[in-house]
Amino acid sequence: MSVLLSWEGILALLLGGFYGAVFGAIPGLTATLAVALFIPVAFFLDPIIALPAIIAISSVAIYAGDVGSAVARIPGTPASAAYLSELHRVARKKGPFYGLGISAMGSAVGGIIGTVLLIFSATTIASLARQFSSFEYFWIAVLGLAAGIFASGGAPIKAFVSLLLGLLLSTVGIDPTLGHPRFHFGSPDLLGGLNYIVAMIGLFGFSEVLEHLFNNKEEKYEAPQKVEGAAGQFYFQPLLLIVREKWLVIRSSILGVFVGFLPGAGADIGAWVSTSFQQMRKKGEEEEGEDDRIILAGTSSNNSAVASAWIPALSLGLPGDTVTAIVLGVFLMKGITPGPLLFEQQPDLLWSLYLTFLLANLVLLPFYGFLTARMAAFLIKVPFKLLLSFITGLCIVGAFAINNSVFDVWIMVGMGVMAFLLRRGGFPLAQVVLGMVLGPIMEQNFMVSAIKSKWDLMSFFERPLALGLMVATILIIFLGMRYRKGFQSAKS
Amino acid sequence: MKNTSDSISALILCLLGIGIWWLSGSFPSLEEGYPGPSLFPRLIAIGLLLGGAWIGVKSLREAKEIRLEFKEKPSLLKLGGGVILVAAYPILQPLIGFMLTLGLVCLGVALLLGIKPWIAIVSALGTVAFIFVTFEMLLGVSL
Repeated sequence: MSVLLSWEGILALLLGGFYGAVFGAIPGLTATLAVALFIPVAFFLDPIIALPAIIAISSVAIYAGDVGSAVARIPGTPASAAYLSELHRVARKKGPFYGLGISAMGSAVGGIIGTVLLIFSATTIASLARQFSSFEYFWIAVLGLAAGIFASGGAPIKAFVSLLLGLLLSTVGIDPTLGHPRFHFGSPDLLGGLNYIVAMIGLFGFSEVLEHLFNNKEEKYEAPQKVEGAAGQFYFQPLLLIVREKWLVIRSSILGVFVGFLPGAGADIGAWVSTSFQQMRKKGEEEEGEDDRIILAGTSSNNSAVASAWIPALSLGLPGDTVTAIVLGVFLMKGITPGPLLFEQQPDLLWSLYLTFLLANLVLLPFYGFLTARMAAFLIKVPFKLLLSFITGLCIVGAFAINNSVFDVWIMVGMGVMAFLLRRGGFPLAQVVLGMVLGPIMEQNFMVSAIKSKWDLMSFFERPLALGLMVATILIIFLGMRYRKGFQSAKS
Repeated sequence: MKNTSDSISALILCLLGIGIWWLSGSFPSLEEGYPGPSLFPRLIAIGLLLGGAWIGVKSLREAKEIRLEFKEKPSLLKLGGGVILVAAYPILQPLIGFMLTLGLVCLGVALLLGIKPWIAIVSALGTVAFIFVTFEMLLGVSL
C-alpha cells in the first residue's frame, strides 16, 4: 500500500489517467487498445505500480469515450455508442459541460458502487473458492464460456466460433495430461504455447492498423461545438441530478456489476444493457430529462462494470473482460497466481487495487473529466492516421519485448491478420481471448477430474458445488437465449 | 456481400475443423484407451464443423444481396503491404538494428496510410525516439 502512496505510485496513477483520457477521447481508440499497448511497459514495472496504472487507464478511458459523443457525435469507445444520440442532444441543448458532467459524475458514482461490491464480493467468492476442487474449476470455466457466448451482444453462433478459435489457440504447445506437444509444426518456439498477451497485442492493436489500411478510412467529422462553460455545469448540476435519480444510478450500477462479472462482457455490454433497460422503461411520450436519465444509466453502468470485471479475475482467475484478461496475463508473467491464495498471500496488492479504484473514481475521473472536456475540441481533431504508425511501432516492440523474441512479432502479425478477418466476418474478438484464457483451465481440470474419478463422468455432478455451477451454466444459457432477442431489438 | 462472407467463413471453419481432427489423430491415448491430448482438439474440431455448418446453412437461407458500404475503395494491396512490412521486422532487425528497422516499418505504414512523406518521416522518427526513450532508457529493456 505504501508503494501506491509513494511518488512513483501517484505518478503512475496520474500518467495512467492522462493516457486513458487521451486514448478514450480520440475516436477509434478503445480502452482495451490503450491497455493492450501499455502491457509491454507494465511488464517491466512493479505490479503494485503497473496494476493501479491499468485501473486508472481503463476507468478514465471509458469515460473519455464520451467526449467525442458530446461534442461531435463520434463515440470514442464502444461503450459510449450506447447513449451517443442522447449525450449529443443534451450537449447541444444544455451545453457540453453539462452533458459531460453527467457522464463523468455518473461514471464516478457507478465506479464507486462497483468498487464497494468488488471489495465485498471478491473476498466472499474467494473464500467460497477455497472449497473448490478440479470439478468446480472445470464447471467455472464452462460457466465462463457459456456466459461469453451470450455476453457478446452479437450473434451467439459467431461468439461460439470465436470462443472455439480461442480454445484451439490455447491447445498449442505441451498438453497438460501427457506432456505431448500439439500443433507446434516443428517449431520449438511454439512448444511453450502462445503467449496470449502477445496475441492480444495483435488482436486489438495490429488489427486496427490493418482495418484502416484496407478500408482507407478517412474520417471527416462534423465541426465540433466550441466547448465553453463553467465548473458548476460540470460538477454541481450533474451531482444534483444524481441525487434526484439515486435509485436509477444504484439500479444501473448494480446491473453493470452483474454484467461486468460475466466473463467476456465488460463495460461495453454493461452500458448497452443499462441504456436498453432504461429505454424499455420509457412509457409513451418523451418525458422531460429522459435523455439525462439514459446517459446516467449507461455511464454509471459502464464504470461499475469496469470494477466488477475484476471480481472473477481476482477471486477465481477468470477474466471479466478483455482488460482483466490482460491483467491476468500480467499476474502470470509476474508469478502471481490469482484466486483464493492471492487473498491470503498478497493482501497488500489487493488493497492497493481497491484503493486505486476509489482514487480513480473519486479523484481522477472528476479531474481528467473536466480536463478532457476543456480539451475536447482539440482531442477529437488529432489525426488518427498519424497515430496508426505509432501504434504499429508499439505493437512490434510490445510483442518483441515481452519474451525478447522476434518470433513473437510473427505471432502478433498472425493474430492481427486473424482478427482482421474475424472482424470482417462479424466475429467478436473478446471471445477469442476468453477462449485462450479459459481453455487451459477447463482442459487441465477436466483431465485431472476424469483421471481422478477413473472416467466416471457422473462424478462431475456429484459434489453440491459442482452441481450448483452446472445449474448456473444451464440457467445462463436459458436466460441468454430468452433475453437475447429483446436486448438486440432495443440495441438496434 | 454479408452472405458471401458468411459462406466463406463457413467453408474455412469446416476445413479448419477437418484439419484439426486429422492432425490430432496422431496424438497418443491414455492407458486403457481413454482419450488423452487429442480429446480437446477433437471436441473443438467438432464444434468448428458444427458452427461452420450452422453459419453456412444460415447464409444460404438468407441468400439476399447486402451491399457492404466502404467509405473509400478498399485496398488489398495496402493491407498486404502493411502485413509484409511488419512481418519483415524479425528478418531485418538482426541485420540493420532496431532503430533503423522500426523507423522504416513505421515510415512504410505511414506512407501506405496516405500520410504526406515529410509528416510520415517526422512521425516515424518520433515513434522510434519515444520507444527508445521509454524502453531502452527508462525501463532498461534491450531492443
